Amino acid sequence: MNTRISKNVLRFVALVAVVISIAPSLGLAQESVIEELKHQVTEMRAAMQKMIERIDQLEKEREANAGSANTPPAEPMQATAATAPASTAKGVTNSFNPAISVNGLFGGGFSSNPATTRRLSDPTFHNGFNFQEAEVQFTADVDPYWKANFILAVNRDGKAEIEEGYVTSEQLPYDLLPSDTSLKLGKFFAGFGKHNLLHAHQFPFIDRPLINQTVFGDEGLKEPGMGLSYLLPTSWFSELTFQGLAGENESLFRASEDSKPRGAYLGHWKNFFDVSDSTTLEIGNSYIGGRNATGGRFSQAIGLDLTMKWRPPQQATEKGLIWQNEYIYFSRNRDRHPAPTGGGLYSSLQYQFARNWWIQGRYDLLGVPKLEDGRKQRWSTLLALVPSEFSALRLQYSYLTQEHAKSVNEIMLQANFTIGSHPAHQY
Amino acid sequence: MRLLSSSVLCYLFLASSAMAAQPVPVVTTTTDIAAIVKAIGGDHVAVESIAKGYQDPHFVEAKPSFVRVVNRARMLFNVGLELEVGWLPLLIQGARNPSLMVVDLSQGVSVLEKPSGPVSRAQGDVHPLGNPHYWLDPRNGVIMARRIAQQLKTIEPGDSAYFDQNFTAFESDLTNRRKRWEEQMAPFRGAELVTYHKEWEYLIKWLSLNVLGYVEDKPGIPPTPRHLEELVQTMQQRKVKALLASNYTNPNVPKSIADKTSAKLVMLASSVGGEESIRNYGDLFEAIVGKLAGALK
Repeated sequence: MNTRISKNVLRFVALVAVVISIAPSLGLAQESVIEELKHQVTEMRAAMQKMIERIDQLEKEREANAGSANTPPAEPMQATAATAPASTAKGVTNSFNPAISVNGLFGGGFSSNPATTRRLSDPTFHNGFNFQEAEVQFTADVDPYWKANFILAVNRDGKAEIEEGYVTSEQLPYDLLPSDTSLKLGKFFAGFGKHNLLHAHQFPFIDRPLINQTVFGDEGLKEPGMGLSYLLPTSWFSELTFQGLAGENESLFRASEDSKPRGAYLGHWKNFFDVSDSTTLEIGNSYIGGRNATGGRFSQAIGLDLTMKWRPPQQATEKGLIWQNEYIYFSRNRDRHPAPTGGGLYSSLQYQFARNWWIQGRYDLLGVPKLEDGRKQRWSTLLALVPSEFSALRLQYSYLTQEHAKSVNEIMLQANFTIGSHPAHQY
Repeated sequence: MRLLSSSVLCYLFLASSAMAAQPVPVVTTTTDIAAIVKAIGGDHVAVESIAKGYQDPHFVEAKPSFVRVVNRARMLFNVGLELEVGWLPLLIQGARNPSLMVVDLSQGVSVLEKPSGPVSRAQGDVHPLGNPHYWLDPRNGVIMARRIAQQLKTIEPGDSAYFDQNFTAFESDLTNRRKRWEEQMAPFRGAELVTYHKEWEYLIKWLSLNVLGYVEDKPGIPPTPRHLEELVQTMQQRKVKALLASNYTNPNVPKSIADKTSAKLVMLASSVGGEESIRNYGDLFEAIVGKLAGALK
């Protein structure tokens, strides 16, 4: 509409210009003047031709601009009119996208130990403010047989890695999988004990227990491998898990980037009892063993865990208590050295005293039996404000005593937040 | 094709008659569904509910002992609409029971409060698929029962007549009682009340009551003092007679509101088993209607 008006206006102006320039000459009779006039008219004609061309060009430009401005409202209308056929024709549809959630851990820390000013007991924590970790999780059914889970973690240095990436199955074609059995393939946290299965944002305290850190290292025991787990036909919940793993763990298998992993085997037996509607008891045993990178000698670890949980169903969002204990014994044989063995435990108590509040305590003991670098004990306490199941603010204080080093005081503050698809909560 | 289906039916019939003595193990997520399954399946079905009647079904824990129960079941009935999203997926996955039939009972129910615009967690625990508390309208109970009967027939076709007969009895009994409850509540049509959580919408729509506001201004999130102040003012102005909360709600906040206004706090069981005397689906409404009528008088 506008373009048509402006085009007419321009044409009108051009005509007026021609008329004005011609008009004064009309009264003159002289031949020379007529000649000059003829000349002027040809010039005018050329100018007018140029103007009309310019007008057409402008008109085209305007139309093009107006067209693109109109596009956004027009496109969704087309899309809704033909959603299904359009998307399938392109082979692109959102329906089968995986459920996605993103978790962020942001923290601040302070340590009294001058030697560890760069690093706190949790390796992802440094003195001052830290971006601990961001984790992206993708979950979806692959087909009727497999369910896939990918967890990508980006650490404080911006280094990204596949923390876990695995598929699970409860049923395969031709009944390849026996009943009551599930299969897991990929890279995953090995099923050793309780704490090793947790991602950093699920830790009950901000840092790992000392014994887990000592035996499995700063990253925990996560390995490429495959596993079967079988539900025993007992009246209570009893599950046997066997996993064949690569044996890449730097701490337990002394593996490095140059060394060749020699394989490891893991077994876990989990038993679970309902004491009452509100109280449950879980008892588990774990074992892992495999040849390590130092001359193919043997490394192994044995674990025991006991967890009691209390949560009255009538006040499921307001009251709860978790008492969790784990003991791990390990040995890492080396050439020409006495086998370094050791053991340790932690015992933690988490109490939810109001809808949004938790208060927690943990005792860590390293050195039963004694390790090479002596006995360590640590006392930690934590206060958590949990505004919803998607966010938490936690403040932790811990005091560490060591046989051959100075005692350390540490304070850590952590913000934990999750966005995206609603995650189901492991018990 | 016909030969195949008839041979399958024949096989199913033989299989079911061979196991006729054994009741079919069925698991449900809530006690209300379990009560209806029991009414339809009678002693031919052994039903167990995961959630307790006095428990908020949003916050059930995925205990491994429930994995054991789901592992042994042949059929699982759930409420759906993401009510059980925080715990049921883990139980089904852990159960290692690929032959389990999972039946979402929200299909066939006309769902209220389906968000039409985009949803965000800033709005609290919104259910993107709509309000899941639909069992709190007895007319939906009949829809659920019909579906349960249909589904039980697929695993026990030999008992079809038995399930049909039980369904007819359930429907006529519930319809008769519903008419009585409606008569009992007729004088209170349009009565204004306030509820704690957004879980009574189906009940309120059925009884033509009028919700003036919620204690939780965002579902699942504790209310702000400012919101409570405004709510108390509104309740005083409109002389609201009843404040409804389910009996697993912490009574402190609703009690303090009731104290400041003329409203009576009515703590209701929202599921079968929520009170000891509520043993079946009809009992649930008997208790709710009794208490509501008492408070609105």
